[in-house]
Formats: sequence, C-alpha cells, structure tokens
Amino acid sequence: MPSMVAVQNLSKVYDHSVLAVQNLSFEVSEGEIFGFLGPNGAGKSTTIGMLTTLLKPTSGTAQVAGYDIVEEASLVRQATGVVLQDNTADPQMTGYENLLFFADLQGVPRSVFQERAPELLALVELSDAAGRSVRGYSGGMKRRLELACGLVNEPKVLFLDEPTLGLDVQTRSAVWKYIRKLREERRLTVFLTTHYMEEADGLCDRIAIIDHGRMAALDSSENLKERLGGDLVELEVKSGTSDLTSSIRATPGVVTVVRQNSIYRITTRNGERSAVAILDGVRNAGGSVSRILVSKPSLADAYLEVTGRAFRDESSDSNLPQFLRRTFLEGQ
Amino acid sequence: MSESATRRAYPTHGTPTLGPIHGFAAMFMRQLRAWYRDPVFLLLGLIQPVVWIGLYGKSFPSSVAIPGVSGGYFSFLAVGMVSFVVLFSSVFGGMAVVFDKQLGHLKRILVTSVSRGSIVMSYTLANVVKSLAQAVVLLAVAVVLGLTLTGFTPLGLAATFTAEALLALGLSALFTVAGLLSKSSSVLLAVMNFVALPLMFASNSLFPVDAMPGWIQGVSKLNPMTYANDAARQALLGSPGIVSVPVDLAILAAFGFGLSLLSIFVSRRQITA
Repeated sequence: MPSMVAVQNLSKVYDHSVLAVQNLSFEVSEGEIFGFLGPNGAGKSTTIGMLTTLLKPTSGTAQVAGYDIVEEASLVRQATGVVLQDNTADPQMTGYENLLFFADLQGVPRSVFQERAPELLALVELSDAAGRSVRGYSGGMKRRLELACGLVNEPKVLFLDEPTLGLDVQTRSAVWKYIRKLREERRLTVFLTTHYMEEADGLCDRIAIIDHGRMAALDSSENLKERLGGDLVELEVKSGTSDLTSSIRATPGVVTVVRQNSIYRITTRNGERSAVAILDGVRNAGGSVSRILVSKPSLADAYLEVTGRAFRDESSDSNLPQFLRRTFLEGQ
Repeated sequence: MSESATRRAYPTHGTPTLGPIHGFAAMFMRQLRAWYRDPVFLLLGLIQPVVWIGLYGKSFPSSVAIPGVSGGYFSFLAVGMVSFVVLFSSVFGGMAVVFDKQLGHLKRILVTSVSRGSIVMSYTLANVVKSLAQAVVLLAVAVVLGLTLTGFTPLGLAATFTAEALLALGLSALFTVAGLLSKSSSVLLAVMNFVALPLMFASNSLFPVDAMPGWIQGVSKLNPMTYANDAARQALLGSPGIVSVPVDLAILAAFGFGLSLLSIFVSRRQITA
C-alpha cells in the first residue's frame, strides 16, 4: 500500500539550540487514520508545521501525497486539507461564503465548487445553516464548518490538529463519525493530533507517541496496551515508609514495579488478586498504605508508560482519568 | 520508498495547475471587506484626516508668510497632508497582518496553495485602496475649507493620485512585510512610530524644503514623501517643483514597485505563521 505521508529522519532545530524534533521517521498509508500523540512541547506542532509546509525542516525529508514538503510545497498545499485548533471562519460571512473563500484560496474552479459545496455542507450537517452568518453558529457548528473548509479542495491527506478540543460530547462523536465516513467513502488519509485518549483509541488505526522530539512508540492502540504486560496496580504509601520495592516485587503475579517517591506503579497478571496480596505484603513489611487503584490497561496508561510524565509535572491524581479511580480499596 | 516511486504512485492527478495569482482576488476582497463592512472603522478612518486638516491646517493664520510658499499656507499644507494621511494609513495597515497572525487566520491561509506573493500583495493593494480613499476625502474637505487649486487640471489630479498611490504602494508593501515578520503588535507599533514621524517631519509635508536646515534638506530629498508632495503641489497648485512631475512619478514608481518586489521576494522565504 503506498504511503501518503512518508517521513525520513526529519529534524527541526530552533535558533540553533533547542532540538524540537529529532530524527523522526514514519509512514502513513493511504486511507489510514493516524494518531499523533505527545505531551505539550513534545514536538507535535513542529512536526505538523513541517508536514503542512509552514516550517522548513533543518534536516531530513518528508513527502505528503507524494510531494516533497520543501521542493514541492505548493503541490503539498494543494493536496492537503488542514483543520487547525483555532476557528478561522469570518463571523460576518455566511458558512457558504466562508467555504467559497477557502475554495478560492485553493484554486477550486467555481463550477466544481458549486457541485461540491452542497455535498460538503450535507456531510457536516450544515446544509440548513449555510446561508446564515457564522456569528450565530454554536461552537460545534463552527468546528464542523472548519472541517468542511479543510475538505473543500478534496484533499488526499487531512491534517486535524486537536479537532475536538473544547467540544461537547455530542459534537465530538459527530466529528468522529464524519472522519470515519470520509475514510470509508473516499479513502482519505487522516493525520490527527489529540490529547483525548479515547478519541485516539476509538478512531486511529495506528498511534505514534512522540516525546522530547523523538518517536517514543508507534503501534496500534491494542498493541500499545498489550505492551504494558497486564493490569496496573497503583499504590501510595504514607510518608516515612521505607522502600518496599523488593517486597512488592516478590509478591506472586507481580511483573514490574516502578517507584516514584511514595507511589508505586505495579504491573501484574491479575490486578484484583495481586492487589490483595500486595497489601498483605506491605502490611507485613510494616508499611502503611494510603491509597490503592487497580485498573485494566487503557491507552492512557500506555501513553503514560511511554512518556512517563504522570508524576513529574502535575500531581498524580489530576493526571489519572476518572475511570482509573473506580477501584478505590482503601480510604485515606 | 524512494521519492520517484512515490511520485509515480501519485501523478498530478487531482491537482490542477493553478495560475500564479489564484486566490489573490479572494484575499484582496477579504482585506477590504473588514474595512468597509465596519462602519465605525470606516468612518473614523475618514474623519481622521478631516480633523487633522481642520485643527492643524486652520490653526495657522493665513497671513503668516512662509518662505518659498506662494498662495497661502493653508493650500500648501492641505496638499502636503494628503501624503500625510497616505503615510499613516499605509503604515497602520501592517496591524491588520499582525492581527491575522495573532488570531491564527494567517496560518490557516498559509496552509492553502495561494501563493505567498499573492498574500503579501493582497494586504498591500487593499491598503493602497484604503489610503487613496482617505486621500480623496481629505482633498475634498480641504477644498470646502478653502483650498484653492490654482493649477487644477484633470491630468494634474490624475498625476497627484498616481503619486499618492505609488507612495502608498511602497509604504504598504514595507509595513505588510513588517507585520509578517513582527512577533507581536507591540513590536510593530514601535517600528511604526520609529518610521512614520521622521518620514513626516523630514519631508516637505509641513514646510518647504528650502526653509529647512541643510542636513534635513539632504534627508528630505531621500524621502519618498517629498516627491509625492512635490508632484501634488506642482499639479494642483502650480507651485515650482524640486524636480519635474514625471521625474517625481518615476522616483515614486521606483520606490513603490521596488518595495513591492522586495516584499514578494522576502515573503517567499520568510513567512512562517
């Protein structure tokens, strides 16, 4: 299957000092929905900037829809659609006029546009609202219009930069529906960045996780989760407790133990059973547990395992998805 | 996969060849729409020169004799002020670019296949139109307030607006690029102030060059404002010129087209969002 995005040793250095992207190489196949994940500052925006020809790479090359991003930048722009984080539609114009504006910028002939516009507006369910000024649109309608504008040149590759940021649940699932439909009906290749793990999990065929400008992982969601090697038990002990790593590791079923201050992240083969055994072990060793969580691995866990940011930048609780807290065995 | 193999898999199918200025008209209309659709914005822009000429122009008693000026200072100043509103209108046009940049609109435009040159020139030429509209209003108001067009001919009027248009072209191109390269609006504002006021004072807008100290005379002869005023005063007032009107226009054309070409050149390699 030919690749629609092909990246070879792509690097970007800002001001000769900060290495924003280092030696990135990957390929995205035609018709693939490709998730591009990573913490803030990991190099996502820089990579998208290079692939959409806004930034020139310092070294390495990439082809989008078969065109070189530097040598054939104009052809890349013609063959791609981009939906950015900001809404850029003119609020004083109607939805239709906004669509026409981007069609003009992409050089879509007027006759082609007149055929295509009703289809696009129907796809994003804005047919009735197209004649109204964008000023009166809801956040979700504006977002859907952006999507239509990104598709007006019938791109081969669609770049979506956090397309559902700040949207309500209904609009988000609607946007996912359109993306799946586009892939099925037109074999559109989608390159998507998101911070919503369930979005990446449910939508993407493969997920790249980028951290510190490097490719940290690239696989399907299932494989990324499988890599974790089992269920997760997270244990927080009261301060003053001595290091329990070796005693936990000796517990039957435990695969790995990672300690970060008073928190232990443990992978086990059977979370529910192991948790009880671990608790007994900790008590026997004279330790005192303040909190314990048991969870089946999610993409968020795989992501955190790869990027390891969970305990570094913010408090551990706020970084854990709600559903991780369901197994609350012991109160504080 | 080698580059050539990828290319074979995707011949230019579906990517029509585009003209070099496709998208220019849409961009140009977009810049103008923001201007004419907001009545307050448009009105303030048009009132500004009226206030200028009403306050400043009329604060000089007409009996004050200025060396080198015949036919009254008000007429002299009124014509000089035409280039003055063109200067401010053109220079402040750079702010539209910075706002588009800050709101993410420029980035969205840059990921489309409209050429970088078209983007720069759409901002520039829209600015020329806005500047000329202000110049027309100013001149009309000045006539109402007592400007006597002693040397008036239709050709002279055409020469005047050609001169002002070329001045606007050069200044707008310069400040469109300045807007594209500015990291923030405060940086651009500092540049505007740094450039606009010296350009106004080191020219013959307010006083004739002959009445200035020698070194400012030298500076003012490098200032495009001087030649716009020189052409306009010869054409409208029949004043004696520094150089002839065709030479004025040639100098201004070099300034306007030179900076336009430079702005296109710079935009091709320097624009990032």
